[in-house]
Amino acid sequence: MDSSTLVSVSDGWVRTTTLTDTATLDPLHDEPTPPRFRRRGRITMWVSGAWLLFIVFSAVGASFLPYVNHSCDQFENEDLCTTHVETNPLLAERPPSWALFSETSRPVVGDAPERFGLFGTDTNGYDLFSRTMFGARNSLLIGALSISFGILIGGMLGLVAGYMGKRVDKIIDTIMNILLAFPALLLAIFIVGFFDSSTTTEAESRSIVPIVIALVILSIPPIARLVRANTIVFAQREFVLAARSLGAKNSRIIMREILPNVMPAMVTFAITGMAILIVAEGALAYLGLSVTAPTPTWGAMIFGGQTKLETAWWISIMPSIILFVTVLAINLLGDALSEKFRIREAIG
Amino acid sequence: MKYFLRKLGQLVIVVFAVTFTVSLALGAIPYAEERIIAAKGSGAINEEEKNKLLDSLNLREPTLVQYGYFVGDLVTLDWGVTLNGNQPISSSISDGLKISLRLMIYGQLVALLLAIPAAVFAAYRSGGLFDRFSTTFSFGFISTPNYVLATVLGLLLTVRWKLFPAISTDVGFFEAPWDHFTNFFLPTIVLALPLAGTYMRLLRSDLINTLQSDFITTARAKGVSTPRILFGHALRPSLFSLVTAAAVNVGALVGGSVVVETAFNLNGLGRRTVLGIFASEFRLVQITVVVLALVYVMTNFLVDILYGFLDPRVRVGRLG
Amino acid sequence: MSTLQTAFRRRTGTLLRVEDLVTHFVTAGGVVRAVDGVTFSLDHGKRLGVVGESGCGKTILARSIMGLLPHRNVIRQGSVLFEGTELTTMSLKDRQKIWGAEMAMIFQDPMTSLNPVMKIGKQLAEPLRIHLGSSRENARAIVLKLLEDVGIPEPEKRFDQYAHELSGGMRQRIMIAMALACGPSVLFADEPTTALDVTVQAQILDLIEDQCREREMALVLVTHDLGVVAGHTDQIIVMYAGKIIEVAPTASLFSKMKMPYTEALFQSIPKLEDPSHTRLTAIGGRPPNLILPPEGCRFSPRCPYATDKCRTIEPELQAAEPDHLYACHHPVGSDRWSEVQVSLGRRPGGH
Ligand SMILES: Nc1ncnc2c1ncn2[C@@H]1O[C@H](COP(=O)(O)OP(=O)(O)OP(=O)(O)O)[C@@H](O)[C@H]1O
Ligand SMILES: [Mg+2]
Repeated sequence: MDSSTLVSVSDGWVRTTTLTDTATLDPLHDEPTPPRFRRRGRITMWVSGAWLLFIVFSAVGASFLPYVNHSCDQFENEDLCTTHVETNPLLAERPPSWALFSETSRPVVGDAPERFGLFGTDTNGYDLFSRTMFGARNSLLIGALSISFGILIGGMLGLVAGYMGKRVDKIIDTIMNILLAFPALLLAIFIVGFFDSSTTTEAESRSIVPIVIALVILSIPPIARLVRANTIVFAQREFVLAARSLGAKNSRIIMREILPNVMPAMVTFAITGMAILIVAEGALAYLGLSVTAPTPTWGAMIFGGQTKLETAWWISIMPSIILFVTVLAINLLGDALSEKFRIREAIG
Repeated sequence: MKYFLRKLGQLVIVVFAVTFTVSLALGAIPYAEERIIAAKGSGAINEEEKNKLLDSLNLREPTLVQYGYFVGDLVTLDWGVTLNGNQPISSSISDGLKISLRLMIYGQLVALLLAIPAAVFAAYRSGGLFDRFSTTFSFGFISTPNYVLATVLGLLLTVRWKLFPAISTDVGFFEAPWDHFTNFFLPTIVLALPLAGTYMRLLRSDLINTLQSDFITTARAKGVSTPRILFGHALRPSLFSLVTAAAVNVGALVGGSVVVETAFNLNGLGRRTVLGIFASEFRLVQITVVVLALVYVMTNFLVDILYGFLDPRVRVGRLG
Repeated sequence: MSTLQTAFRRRTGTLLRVEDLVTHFVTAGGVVRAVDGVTFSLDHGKRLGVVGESGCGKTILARSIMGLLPHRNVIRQGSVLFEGTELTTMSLKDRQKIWGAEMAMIFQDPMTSLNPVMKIGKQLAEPLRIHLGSSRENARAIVLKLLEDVGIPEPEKRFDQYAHELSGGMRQRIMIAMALACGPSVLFADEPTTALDVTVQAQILDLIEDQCREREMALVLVTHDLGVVAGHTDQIIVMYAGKIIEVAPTASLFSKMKMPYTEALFQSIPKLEDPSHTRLTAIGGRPPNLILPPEGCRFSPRCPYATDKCRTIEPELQAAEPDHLYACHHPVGSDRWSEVQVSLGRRPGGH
């Protein structure tokens, strides 16, 4: 834009540091403060990464992990064995063992414990900790599947729209506008409800397929827009123009030249997008429209405990906490990544 | 002007597509007729009434004719009555709209009132204590699904401390101001906090960028006081993302606060539609979706015009 | 109140006294010594030029004097006396009373220096309303007069326009009008013409000079172009790597320059046939690293006359004449200088 800035960036290497440090520079702040630099960012990134690893690990290996049957080894009396699927009326609605301030509203029979496990038990006597970890499986699976398909379809539309421009761009843009004009959640409900009714008139058990389809459709427009905007930028760059003038095929240019450059933005968006979709699945569940037995999603678990808030708060609250922490971790990671990419773009 | 016409053209296309899809969707629903009859209470109506009902829905007509009737009914406001209870659909929608609009406006206002001052102060001392504190909090808010927030606040404020009614009722402000407040407080907060988090982050980062610009230095060199620089010079050019987001939410929240409406038992438009889907009130659902789409499309259209007010450069030649 | 002061202000004697001014930035890469011990003074109504290569700290010097810097991660030392008042210890509130009223500044890039979403008239009226408490109508009248003074046609129409509707030269005139609004006693002009076309450059410089004379206003003209300061200043400061290395009245600097660096700058004055944005590329080597400046004389790595002494002992400012100071072991005209000139095949002698 102005020559002096450019010049200083290229030959005054000091300016380059200034560029990346803009966050710590505030032009109005007027009291001298001691120098300070951020290291905090990296720690949050590690912590959230570790948490996500833990959740993913639990989700994948839920069946092999010790907590599945821990309660069966823990007590000699086999009646007190509770898992994530075996109903156990003896242990219904037990508060977490650390929640000394809470009592169960159900009678305690024999030597059955008053409090139970890390997360307590739900109305069926399922161990909530095991169940939450199994819930991770469905929640993450739904989130990951939906965002993958969303990126695939939305990304393709965005690439084509941004690269081809003109009429194609207009048509795709209009389709996206139409999709956006439908109220998101209602659209999802309609889709889920629609698939429901095509098998049975009464919704009994639901697979994750309709939910994934609904979420994919929701995620397409924003992804397409983001990718389109990024594509337009790169489609004007010299290397693309050069490839074009050499007579490379459009499909090749898109896949070889543009896609790799749009990738960082897409990956960053995919991460935050996954968080959004996990939350959206929860919203569907909250409205009674998600996967049912045998393994739940987090949303379904939170929904399941709604009516018990007064007597057994942990049924809703414990999965809520896990959901919150996971979404937070994903968001923090996405934020850190986007910052990283932006900086690299600014320098390189 | 050309820009204006182009946007208007798009608006028309979108409205057409939405109404058409909605009209078609009815035909695509499996067992639609049976469900409608069932919803009406199959035993309760005789053959004649049944035929009349189905005739009024034009289900057996060809697609295009169906669409024609649907649009005709929409335009002439001949919306019919609900299957159960025979409430006019128009009054059901306007009742729902009243509640949803109220929620949306309260939520947006609270969100903006929290976000704007926080963002300005955070950007003014970016990297400072308040900035880090508020950024952390806004991140927390953004990461809290509203059903989780509703659950937690519900547990603490209604179940434990009994400060607010667990089930909100739609009490008018002028009839009983205090009850109005207690009934709408929790839904508003649940709606507003995540929004505030998003708004705050958007505005903060735009403000930080603006504060680095040369014209801010010019203003400082003129001796403009700090608050005046922040609010008089820096705020307006930084409002783009915020206005866009807030505007999209105007449309999105009217139908999209289903979760909050469900959590607090408010019969807003979103909740009525969800219940409508479950109860096979297809006509109600169809019309609501069209109304919501119209609200959404219209707000977006208005925002595009509002941009011109925010940045005079847009009025002349638009970039995007 | 300020107008009265302006009217009866003493127009002679020292206006600005800068003593050992230091401005360092603490960055992740180390401490950037942008301004590293600068001392000079400026009399009422005088015009001072500050020249040096890009990145030598001219802008930061001007801003440090005004106190217009980000304060986070900045180390500041030294003193700035403005009409006998110490500025460096003044509170922000008090400095804001001086900014725009007593000291004004115009910037390099008129494209980005005006608020894009505020009408020109309102931006111009702002200092008047803040410092003089003018009413809206009053301010409008003064602004229209100012616009006329800086040579803007149809002031009435411009008043309600936005910055993007004006050309670059026009915007710089607006910036000048804004700086003049409250009748400051010193104007800092930071490369006011760098971003403009050659034809417009001369007009803007003439405008600044005329206005300074008319309003008995002192001028600090910052530029990397010796050609610009030649005709428009009374005195020149040559900066290198955050330090003053030569100070002299304009005429004697050009006739009797002492510093090899000044000489190199002089030789790189853009000739008429050069395109307008040619930078000072004539001086070989890289501009100095301001985090770890070279030992001894900071120019020594690039100086053709440098000896071991230059690379170890930093030369002090010394007087060639009472008003001509320089910091060099082998100034222009010394034996070493002649020796190298001969070895380079140039004829030693004056310019
Ligand atoms: N906020 C800052 N943080 C760190 N270093 C800075 C900052 N501002 C300026 N600098 C450095 O201080 C040095 C002097 O900068 P300054 O802008 O004064 O140069 P200049 O002489 O005005 O050059 P130009 O001709 O390019 O305007 C430069 O090396 C620059 O990189
Ligand atoms: Mg400069």
